Amino acid sequence: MVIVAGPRRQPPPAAPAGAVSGAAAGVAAIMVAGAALVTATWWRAAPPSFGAGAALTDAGRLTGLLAGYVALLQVMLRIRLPVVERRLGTDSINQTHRLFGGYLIVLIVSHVTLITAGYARAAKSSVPQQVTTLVTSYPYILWAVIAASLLIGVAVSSLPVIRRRLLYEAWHGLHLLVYVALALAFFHQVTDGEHFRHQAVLRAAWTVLFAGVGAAVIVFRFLRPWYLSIRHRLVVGSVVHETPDIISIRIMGRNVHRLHARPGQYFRWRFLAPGAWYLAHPYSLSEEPGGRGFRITVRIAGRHTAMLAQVPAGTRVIAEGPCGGLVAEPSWAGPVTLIAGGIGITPLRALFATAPCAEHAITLVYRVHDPADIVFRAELERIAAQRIGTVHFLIGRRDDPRNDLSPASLTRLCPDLARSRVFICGPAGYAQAIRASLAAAGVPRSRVRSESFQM
Amino acid sequence: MRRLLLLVSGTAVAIVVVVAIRTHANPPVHHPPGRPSPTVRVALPPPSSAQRAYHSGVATGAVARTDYGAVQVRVTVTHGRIANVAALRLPHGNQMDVQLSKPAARVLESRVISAQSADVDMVSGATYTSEGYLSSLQSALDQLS
Repeated sequence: MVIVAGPRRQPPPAAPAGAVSGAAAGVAAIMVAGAALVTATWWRAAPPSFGAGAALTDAGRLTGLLAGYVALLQVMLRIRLPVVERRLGTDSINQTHRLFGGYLIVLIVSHVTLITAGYARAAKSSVPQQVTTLVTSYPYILWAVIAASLLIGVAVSSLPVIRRRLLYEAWHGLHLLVYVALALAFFHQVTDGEHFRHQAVLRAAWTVLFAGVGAAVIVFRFLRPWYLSIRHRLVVGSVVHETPDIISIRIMGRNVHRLHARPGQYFRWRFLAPGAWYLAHPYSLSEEPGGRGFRITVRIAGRHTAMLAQVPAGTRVIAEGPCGGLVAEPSWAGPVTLIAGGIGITPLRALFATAPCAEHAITLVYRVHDPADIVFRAELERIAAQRIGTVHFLIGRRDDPRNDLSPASLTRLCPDLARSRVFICGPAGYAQAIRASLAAAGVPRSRVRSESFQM
Repeated sequence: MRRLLLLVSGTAVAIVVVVAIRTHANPPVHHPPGRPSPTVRVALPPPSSAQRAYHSGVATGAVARTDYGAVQVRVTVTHGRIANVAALRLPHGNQMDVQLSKPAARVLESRVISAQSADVDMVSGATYTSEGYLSSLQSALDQLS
């Protein structure tokens, strides 16, 4: 590339990115501590059960308490707390959310089974009789049954085999039922729960916990995005076609630096235009955030994105975020390697211009199916020239021998790979293949940050 | 999927362990209905009936309020000995309370008859019911002494 040393932009201070696994460990420690607290409550706050089926009943109560706790964790992972987003990154939040989703269903099913079996043994009644007694003579158990059914329905709709067949809108709508389910389930916890029924203090604490999480949902998912949109007057500035099916939207606003978005991050954008207002989609900033606005770049892949190509200038925009953990560490002084697949170039385009690195040691690998799909070619070459970096365009499908992603060929493209901090963005399968290659090439996992998208 | 299996099996093992430890720390009392338990433990040696004779008669104890509901018993003393204790009110807030407090009351009655006093061990797992039961019983016995 052309050799011209240009002034390097100073990026805003970022969280120490080397601490990704440290942050993950910290979050995991907080979660485990919470579970231990729940277990201690179960141990101390109610006497052990008595008589036949006591062990089943006790285990059922504990699984019930844990299910309530895990459900709250699931919500907290999803309210886009800025610090959690930045520290953990979207991929790891998504993985944890999927893991806990399955875990929650197992806990709920165990809770129902154990309590029914334990009570049936204590009452010397049959299981169907006991089910009838539970639903008819205990308060709010029917609500809880409805809640459990809703949660199981949502979990089933998220199984990859079902999810693939659902419209995103339908799947998303189903997921909103989770809030209804948690509200319904809450009532049986405080009226039937052995640990809350007789203990006003614990009942109040549990209620405050649920109400607090509910308030956090309202604040972080609704009020804050609307407030920021109004405060910063976020509107569509212009829409331009980069290629026939890739558009860049410029979003204008006042004092947008106060949103503290970092290169590599994204917002969930909601465009208040007819037919688009009810959906918020994640799109990365494809340029380092400037003083007067943002640029996002979107591949037209469906009804919603096709509508975005038509969105008129001046349309009000609601932004949830900033989200995502593809952020560069300000103190990093080694080489940096960016590996993009398709439209995954967008956050890496912003990092290519700004990520701190050793002199002349930034490399971008950008794979596209077709030369016509390349976006930002001129920009990328200009940045490469300014920073004395390198861009490799790989053209063709992933199985094309020229696009070999083996450790050997990655090392050939990026000679400093083993010492590099690596950022990956692309389709999930591509990102996973690259991560495997990097591990084989001896790049420690703590130096790799990866985000993927599913279409 | 592998991580979910690990998490679930780890949790299952942890739950089995804590439930087992807790049950072991507070062993439940197995009591065949209708017959005094042979393993009743008595806190104090039973005083001789000469020392602690009650007037014969029937007395109803005061209502004891517990977190789980009211408890009240009626004691029958014949020939100076506690012959039986009837539970008039037991916690019945829900089905589970009923299922727990009835057998606990039977265990307590047999302990009281063996000890001839309200000074007996509580039934573990039914401590609230036991406390209420024994305090109501004490007030009934006080009327007959």
